[in-house]
Amino acid sequence: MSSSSSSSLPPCPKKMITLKSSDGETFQIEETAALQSKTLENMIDENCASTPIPLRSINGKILAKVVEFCNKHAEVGVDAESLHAWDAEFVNVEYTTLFDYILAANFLEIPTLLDLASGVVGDMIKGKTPDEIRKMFNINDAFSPEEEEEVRRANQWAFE
Amino acid sequence: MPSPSTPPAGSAAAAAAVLTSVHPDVIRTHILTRLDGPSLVAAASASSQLHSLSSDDCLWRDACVAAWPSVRDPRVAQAIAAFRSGHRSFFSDSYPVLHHHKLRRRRSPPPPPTPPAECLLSAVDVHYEGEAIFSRVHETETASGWFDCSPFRVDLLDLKESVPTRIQKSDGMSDEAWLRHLEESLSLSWIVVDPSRKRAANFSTRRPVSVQRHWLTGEVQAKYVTVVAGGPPGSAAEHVQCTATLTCGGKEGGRLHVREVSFQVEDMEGKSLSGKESLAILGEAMESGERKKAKRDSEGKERFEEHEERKRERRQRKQRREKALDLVCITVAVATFIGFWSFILFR
Repeated sequence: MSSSSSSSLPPCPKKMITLKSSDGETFQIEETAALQSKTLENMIDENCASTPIPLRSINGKILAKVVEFCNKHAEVGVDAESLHAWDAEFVNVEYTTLFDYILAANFLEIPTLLDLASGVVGDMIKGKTPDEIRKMFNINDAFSPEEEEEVRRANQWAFE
Repeated sequence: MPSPSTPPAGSAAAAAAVLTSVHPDVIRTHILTRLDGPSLVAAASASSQLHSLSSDDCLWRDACVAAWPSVRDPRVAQAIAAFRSGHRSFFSDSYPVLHHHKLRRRRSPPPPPTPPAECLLSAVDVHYEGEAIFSRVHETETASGWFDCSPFRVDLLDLKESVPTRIQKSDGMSDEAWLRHLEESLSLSWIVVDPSRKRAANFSTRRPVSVQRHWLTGEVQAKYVTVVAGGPPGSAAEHVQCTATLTCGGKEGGRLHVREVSFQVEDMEGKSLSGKESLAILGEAMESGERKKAKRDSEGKERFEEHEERKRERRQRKQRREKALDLVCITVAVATFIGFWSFILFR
């Protein structure tokens, strides 16, 4: 329902707003669902949402998922347990997508999605050694030898 | 929640520098705040960027408070504020297991003497099945002659005070199973903070080395023992044991009450050390003791049992020495006796 890239609006009783991704795809989302995003809420309040809203930092693939997330969370009558299961499935993706979710959620200010995605990243870090974390996220900005020495001296046990 | 711990193949290359693509503010406010202390240490040690992002003292204070609610106490917070990197240093000092088996070898010139501590803070937390059930901070004045000479002992509760807990023995559980259950689920942390050295260390084994029922009162007594080096090799204080004792009582079938939480330092012959001696030993252990990762829950108990074995050997050696000395004395006495009478009778 979300990824219909249409230019002419079908007659619809609900108020819809249109989002445009960085690669030019457009998505329609009900205003009630869009209100989960503080950024969109502000635009709606200021009546800036009548034309398609360009989101230059979010590509179509991610925006489709974000719209899906907002729709799911705007549904009425979903019990907490099944929503929890749905969320868990939603973030069961590779790191890159997960970081894209975080970036999008941060840009659009969607606290539920931001919490969910950063929670998964937090869980991934738990119980890992520094080397494992470095490998997992492919971190290359190494310490200077002095810094490395200092960090190792203070927390040798964390490397064991 | 199923986490994508095994991402699809090929994502490793695609994931290049992804973490750095996330806005630093998001990492700081949303990812690092979710980590517990040990993960925060690991993340901060992974990269220069993460290290500087995690320099905010609030992150570490939250991690410390989550692990030890007693850290919230203003006296402890004030002492920690003077530490080199605040709560970060405190966490690195107090979270890992303290290993201090040999005295630091003094090289010349000797290190500058640390100013004598005016007080020691004990920040104590008891957890039952991972939930904090008792937290308290105690301040020990150390700048008096009375403290120097009397046996060192910290008592957190007054004689008549008792703190109720939610711990209750389930019906039909045998006493043996009950004590075993407590041994597995009753953990204690005893962090000693020396505000003048700006150091801290955890002198508890976390898990008890023994849980026993007192033969007379029927109260449950859990002991947490850390053994540290205290004096030159061969002396009775070569290794000393720092014992935290948690005593719980309560009516049969009712909830347990914490009755006594105490800490003392004993040498290998079971003699309580004085305040002055204890202060020096604890300070030395804080300053130069190694901090290591806890490998097994039973590690503390194993180290305690090794110490008990050493004490037994020491006692046996002492007995053998005494026997040999007795023998020499008897031989000398008999020889003198015979010599004397021979002299009288055959002169």
